[in-house]
Amino acid sequence: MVIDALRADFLFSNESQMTFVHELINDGYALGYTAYSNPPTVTLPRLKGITTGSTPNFIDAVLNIAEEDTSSTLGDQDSWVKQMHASGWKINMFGDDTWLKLFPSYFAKTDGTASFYVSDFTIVDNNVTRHLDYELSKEGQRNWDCLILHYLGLDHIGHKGGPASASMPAKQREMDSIIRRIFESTVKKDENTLFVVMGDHGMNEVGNHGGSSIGEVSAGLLLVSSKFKKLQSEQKAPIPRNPDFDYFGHIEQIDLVPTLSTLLGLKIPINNLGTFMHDLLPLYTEKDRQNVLIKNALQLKVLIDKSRSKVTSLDSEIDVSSLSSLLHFLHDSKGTLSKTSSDYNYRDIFYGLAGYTFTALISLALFFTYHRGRLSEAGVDLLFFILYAVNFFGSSMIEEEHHLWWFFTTVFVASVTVKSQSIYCTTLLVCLRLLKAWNNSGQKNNIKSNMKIATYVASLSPDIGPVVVAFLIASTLATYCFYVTEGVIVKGKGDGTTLRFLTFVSTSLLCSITFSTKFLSYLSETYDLKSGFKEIPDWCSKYILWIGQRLGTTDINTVNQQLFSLFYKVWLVTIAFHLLKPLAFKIWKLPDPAHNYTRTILITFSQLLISQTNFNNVPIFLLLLAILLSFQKLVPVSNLNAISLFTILMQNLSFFQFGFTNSLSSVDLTNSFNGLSSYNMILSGLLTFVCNWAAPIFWSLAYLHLTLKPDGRNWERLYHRLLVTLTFYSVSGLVLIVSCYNLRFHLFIWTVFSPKILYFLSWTACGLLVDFGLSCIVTALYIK
Amino acid sequence: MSATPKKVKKTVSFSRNSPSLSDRNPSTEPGSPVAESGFDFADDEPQIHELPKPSPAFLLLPFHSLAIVYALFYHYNISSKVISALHSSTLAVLTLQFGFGLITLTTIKNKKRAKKHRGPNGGELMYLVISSLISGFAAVPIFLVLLVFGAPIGSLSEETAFLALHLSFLTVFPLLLVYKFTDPDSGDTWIRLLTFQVPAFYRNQIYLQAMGALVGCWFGVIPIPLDWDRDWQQWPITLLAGAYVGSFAGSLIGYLYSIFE
Repeated sequence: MVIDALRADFLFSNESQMTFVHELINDGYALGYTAYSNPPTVTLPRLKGITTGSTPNFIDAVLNIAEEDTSSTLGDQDSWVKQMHASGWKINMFGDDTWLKLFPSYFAKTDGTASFYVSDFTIVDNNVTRHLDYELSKEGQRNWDCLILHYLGLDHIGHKGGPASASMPAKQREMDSIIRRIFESTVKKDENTLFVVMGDHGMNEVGNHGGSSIGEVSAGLLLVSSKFKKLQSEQKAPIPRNPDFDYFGHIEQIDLVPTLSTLLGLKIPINNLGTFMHDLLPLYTEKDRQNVLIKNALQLKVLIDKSRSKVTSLDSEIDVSSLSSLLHFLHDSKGTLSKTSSDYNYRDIFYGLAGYTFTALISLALFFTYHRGRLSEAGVDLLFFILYAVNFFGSSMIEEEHHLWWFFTTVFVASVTVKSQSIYCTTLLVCLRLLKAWNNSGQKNNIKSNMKIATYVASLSPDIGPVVVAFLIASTLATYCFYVTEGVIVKGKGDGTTLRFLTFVSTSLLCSITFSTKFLSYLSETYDLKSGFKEIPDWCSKYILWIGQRLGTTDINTVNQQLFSLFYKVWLVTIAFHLLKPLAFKIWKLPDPAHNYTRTILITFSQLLISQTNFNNVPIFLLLLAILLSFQKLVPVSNLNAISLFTILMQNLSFFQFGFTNSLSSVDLTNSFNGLSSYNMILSGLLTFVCNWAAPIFWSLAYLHLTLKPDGRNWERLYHRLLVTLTFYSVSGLVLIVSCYNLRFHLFIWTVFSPKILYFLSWTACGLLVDFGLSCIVTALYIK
Repeated sequence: MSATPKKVKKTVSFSRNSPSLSDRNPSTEPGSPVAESGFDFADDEPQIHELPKPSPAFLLLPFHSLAIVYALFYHYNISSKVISALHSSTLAVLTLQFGFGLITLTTIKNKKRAKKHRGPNGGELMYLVISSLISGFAAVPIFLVLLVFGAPIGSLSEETAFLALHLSFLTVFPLLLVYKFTDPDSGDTWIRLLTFQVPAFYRNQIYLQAMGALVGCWFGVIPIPLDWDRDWQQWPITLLAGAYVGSFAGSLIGYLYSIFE
């Protein structure tokens, strides 16, 4: 039984609700472990590790998200699932369909659940549990030899609300009761049954995973069998919660593979790098203990021989009759093998490097041709790009990249504002500081010495919390609404009035839908609404009921779904209207076609971005608007270089201040399924992108808002920005690739540098889609 | 895409004007700063006139800055106990700064008047005490500026407050010794000092000292996030060290520049 993201403390700590598990441990039926799961701590690579015993391949982390892909099957790779199948076992599998993707043909009976619909906590698990009635019945038990269950609900709760979410205790109790059910109907009745409860990975303090922080790699593992009573283990649960996740023995998750194979009498999968858990040795007789270890040692020996292409016999290296030397050998070979298991395809790497160098040279040539005569300006830009890129050689600079952007931004803003005595300088600086304080990022010391306003707001008491959150969200949306309709006073009675009225109606409709969705998601994530509305103030429950009455349902998920599909419809019509307005005006010869064009485009896109942003980040958009407007007052449009640099700086700074980092664990999936009723790779991919790259999209459009002017030189100005952006990405990307190549044997290559490459890829995608694609479309439709 | 646009960049910068200004005013001789003060109407931008500046002197070099950094690390052991080191060092640091103020005042006075060497009189001592008080109060706005530029809010406030106090005595205090608040046009002068409108700043030893402290403090923050796991990588140790070293370096640059010119 795999419970997704089951961190060790969920099983064993004194805050764990799984009392039956504690009973099992105290009675000697079960052995608990903290199992180290190799990064990337994402389900697909972890399942590969758990079944084959090998260390993961980094591309799997990407394939984990691209769910429809089939290139991730284990095919003919050896695993204990394959071994079971080969020995004629019948395997039934219920739960996460990642298993089906890995092993398309080995299971006798399956029911897969999609793993990415994260806003659902209950149905996804009920779809697994509903099979237990039959499978655990007498008749059912005759029809399987191995039953694999994979529960996803706990992971979803983590993604939505973190490990301390209000729904977490209930979910733990639910899992505990299922463990009790399985134990009583199988393990208790049959001595030869082994029951494994485990998490495929853990989660960090905000409930995400993918990186290598201590919480993410400390998964729980529980082995249950009546035979373990013989071991007379001294384990006592629960253990006080500790920040190091130090519960019982530390093992590696891949150690499960040889252990499972040996206990079940199967062959150990050939690619396994794990070692038998030696504290289970007393289960065997003196003679068998040696055999068990030799079997494991021989299997590892084959891999070692392969890696140094030299075949020797095991006897020649160690004394096979001594248990301690065997254990020592196993330990050593695991160490050597995990170090050498990375294999690089140098030819492809060099092709890529050469291609990138070529691009970088072209972009530099263009950059300097454009800037001839203004070489000092180009020099400053290039110095900044190189200073930034050099930081890719340090792992901590990648982990804490947000410091870098804050540093560059303050230097830049100081240089812009230093000689000005305008009040906008203060506004700009204070807003930037608030932006930094809102949801500060970083992978280490994230919480330690920095106040996060977002965390503070989310943790306010029920009396005041909903009021503050509602006020913040509403004031952000109202400001946008106010800004797009140019205030409340109608000047003159020209043709603008009708248009402004239409703009106001559509924007306020979008705003009110967004407000509802964001406020509802705040309520449902902060309070436990499943058991009634006792925790929230009266007006909130009335509000929920009112919406529920209008939509004919009270389930928060369904309400959100309906609201979002309404939002998308209105938004598509609005954006089409605003984009095509100048064209239509020109055709019908109406006056002033491009009036307020960029403003309406920026605001309407912001509506989409806000709707895709987590509720606690929504007020950031108010800050972004304030920063944009005060910057507009400080820097004239003729100073293109400053505006282009500012766009790059703010794109990156605000990206990190949304709480994102260069670790895969900070990818936000909570908004990827807004309004989607089933998994759709393209749409949810798009929504994930919009949700995570909201700030860069905002600033890309903000550049257009600052520079699109009715003087017919818009393409020149766009070209300037595209050139600066292209040079920025090609220079920094080249340095990043060189640094990764250079550090390919570095300890952190898979945990720090490779995720950065993936993030960089997404940044270039953002550059192509938004900075280039969207900007060109918006500029092309600006018709005067 | 249209051809690369040719734009004439209009720069309105002080640096272009300032060399000509300084060429006209060879100000390395003692006594000249007073003569310089006043509007230079011949220039393109008459409102940007050169500020009076003290003539560079070896005695103006803040050697005590280096001593303070050394003492903070090796005597007060700031790496292991930040707050208590900051507490216990404050009095010594302020005394040293006061002493530096005394030296600076006398040096400037003696250079200016070109008379016989004289000690400080009562009025100057009074001025020094009041300047110290002002610098102490100036730590409050500096504290706010530090917050705006990214100092942690809500935690480590005491450390930031001490940093602000140190910075105030590194920037405001030395400037007060030269640009006296008792001077007739001190308001205008200080506005220009605070908005960095100082032509020929590279020859102004005291101004460079203050700027050096700011720049050093700014760059001092860089080592903190690095993963070297050293105990001195803490707020605000590196910033303090950067500020003190920076102020010495700034002063030294100003001094050397004027010697070798």
